[in-house]
Amino acid sequence: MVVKTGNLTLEIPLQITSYRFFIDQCLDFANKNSGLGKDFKRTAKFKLAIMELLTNAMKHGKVVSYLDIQCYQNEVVIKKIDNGERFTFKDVDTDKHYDFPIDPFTGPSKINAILGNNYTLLINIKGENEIEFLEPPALDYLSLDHVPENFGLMIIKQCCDTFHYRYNEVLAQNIFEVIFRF
Amino acid sequence: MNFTKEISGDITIITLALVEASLNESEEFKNFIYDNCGNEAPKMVIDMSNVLYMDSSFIGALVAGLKKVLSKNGEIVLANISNDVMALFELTRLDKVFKIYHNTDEAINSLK
Repeated sequence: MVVKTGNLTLEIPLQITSYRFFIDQCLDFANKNSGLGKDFKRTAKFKLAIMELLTNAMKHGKVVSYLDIQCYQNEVVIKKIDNGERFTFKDVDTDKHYDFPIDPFTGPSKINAILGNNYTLLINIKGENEIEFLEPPALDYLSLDHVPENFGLMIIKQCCDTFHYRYNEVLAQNIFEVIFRF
Repeated sequence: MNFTKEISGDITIITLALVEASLNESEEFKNFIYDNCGNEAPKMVIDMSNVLYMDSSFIGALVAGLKKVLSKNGEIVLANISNDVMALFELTRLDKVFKIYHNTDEAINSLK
């Protein structure tokens, strides 16, 4: 049986003046209510994921958003929820543009998606309103021109165990879900 | 001032007077780097000793700055990176792209 040990919801303002305020609150909460522990690398990744979710909220949200943290004995689930513009992406190979709900959804498929200006990330399209960000291949930049200047989602994926985007059509909500498992 | 600069010979030492280096300051920082690499082959040390938190936007500004400086045959090196910020560099593999030194003295000597 999975027992929830705590739930914290924080409102993210349009302009964040102190990331530290949010990061410390989230970290304290996760430490008290889950097995996150004091391991330096895991803690650093947790803080980075929170920071990138906050930056994502400020950069793309244009609306008030929320950070929801659910703790369990062996995992922490972090959701960034907003009612702003839907997440979109493009298939590098076919140039096809994706929006939500994905229509037609023809079954799960993995694609190399272009995000932001110049970086790509593997995506598993799992449903008409659900995608999973996958582990990027080993990063080896061929030249400085290949080094991206925006890579927030990639960082989040590299920090956590699973990272999903879901679109809730009924509530017109964007939900980025990050899970850390111990 | 979020950033200060000091000139030592032909080297510009830029200190980030920030605990949190984020989207809020990334554009200003990129422009600061651009404004300070007008001469031929600029040499820059970025002292990050005050920075405890850095996000992808700010690291993107660092990458943009590096591209600009290298395009002028210059060099940009980083010093005094905290453990948490170093974790970000390692995740993005930018620890292999930037030259990183333990302190500003080492960073300055590397440019001489």
